[in-house]
Amino acid sequence: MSYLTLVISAVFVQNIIFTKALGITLTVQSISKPKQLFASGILLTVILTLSAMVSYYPARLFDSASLTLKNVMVPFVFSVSVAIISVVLLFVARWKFKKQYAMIFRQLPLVAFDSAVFGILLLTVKNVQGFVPIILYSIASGVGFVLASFILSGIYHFCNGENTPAAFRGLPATLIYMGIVSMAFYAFSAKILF
Amino acid sequence: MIKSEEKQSSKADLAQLTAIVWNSLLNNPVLVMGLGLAPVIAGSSTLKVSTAIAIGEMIIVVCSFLPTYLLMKKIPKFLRHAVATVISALCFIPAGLILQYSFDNIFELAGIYLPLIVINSIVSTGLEEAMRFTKGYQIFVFSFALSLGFGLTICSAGAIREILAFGTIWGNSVNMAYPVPQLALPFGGFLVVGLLAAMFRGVKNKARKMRQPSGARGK
Repeated sequence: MSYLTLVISAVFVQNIIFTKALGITLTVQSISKPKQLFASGILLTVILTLSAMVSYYPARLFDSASLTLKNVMVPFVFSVSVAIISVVLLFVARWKFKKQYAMIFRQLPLVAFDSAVFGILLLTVKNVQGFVPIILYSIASGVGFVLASFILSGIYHFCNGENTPAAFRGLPATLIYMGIVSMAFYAFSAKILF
Repeated sequence: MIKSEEKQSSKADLAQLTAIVWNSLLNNPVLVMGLGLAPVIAGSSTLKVSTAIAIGEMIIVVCSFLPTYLLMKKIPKFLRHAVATVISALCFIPAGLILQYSFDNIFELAGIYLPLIVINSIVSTGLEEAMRFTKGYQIFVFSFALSLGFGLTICSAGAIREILAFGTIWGNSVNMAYPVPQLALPFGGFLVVGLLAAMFRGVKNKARKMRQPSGARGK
């Protein structure tokens, strides 16, 4: 698979929000604040890329292990990597970005310990081979997250408007809208659905 | 005198625990708070997979909250989430092995959504909520109720999607005339969970209105 195909696949064909349902909680929580959503997207891309780098070789140690051991140990390796990267990033932010530190301190746990980072790391085990493709896939998935969350932030007011029935207002309407857009995203994978 | 005081305090404790359970169930972590949506939406393609994810989440949440709470007092704030994540990842090792031996091919059937129970917003946000309690048994009850709310939701979504998509329930046919296999894809999960959330909120709003005195209802 060429690098371009890999990037296009991660951004559109296998968009993490619409085709894998990863990072939805993060999106739903920040959907009303596009600036915060953009900052979360950048933070997610950084954490994801660094975690993918750190965990690449330790995760490969289990390639020759039994499937049972691999299934339970690879998630442990990824969790430890995400935990280490999040702590290191907090130190760096405290040292280099003093003005933004309060915002990063508040936002970082929400992003790092959401399903998006961990889910993409798990996806790389099955979908991508090699160090450089994994890094590219991680960056492209982060870009895909930003793109998808901006599509969703545009409909926030409709999902929370007066015309929306009270029971559907907010989360239910957003999820149903995501379902419809997700169906459209399947067109990128050239699948015949019905 | 001392006995009656003990009785009163145990009654108050019981009332508090009941309130914790009811609050966690009524403010369902998935349908109301929007937590842990990824495994519920994309992982709940069948009831069997949903049950495995629900059991795994319960083991991780119940087993990791109490030790994390005990450690929280001794470690700085910026390390809390990292430590909690490592503890829940440690809990996943026995939980994963139990599920592997209890359900055939569960890791293949659930894909990334079974390991995803290690890091998700239920564990991270739920843990912050749990930190407001002061006693160990309160945290235990809270974590149990939280994972029960999650489990009930994912199993409902899994059962509905399995019936609609394959015309079966736990692999047994239910004579569904026109199954729609596409509903097993993530977009089916978005639609089913969205409709479940709307239904839950609708029933909750209706119950709240009915509980109000008739005079206050018109206002």
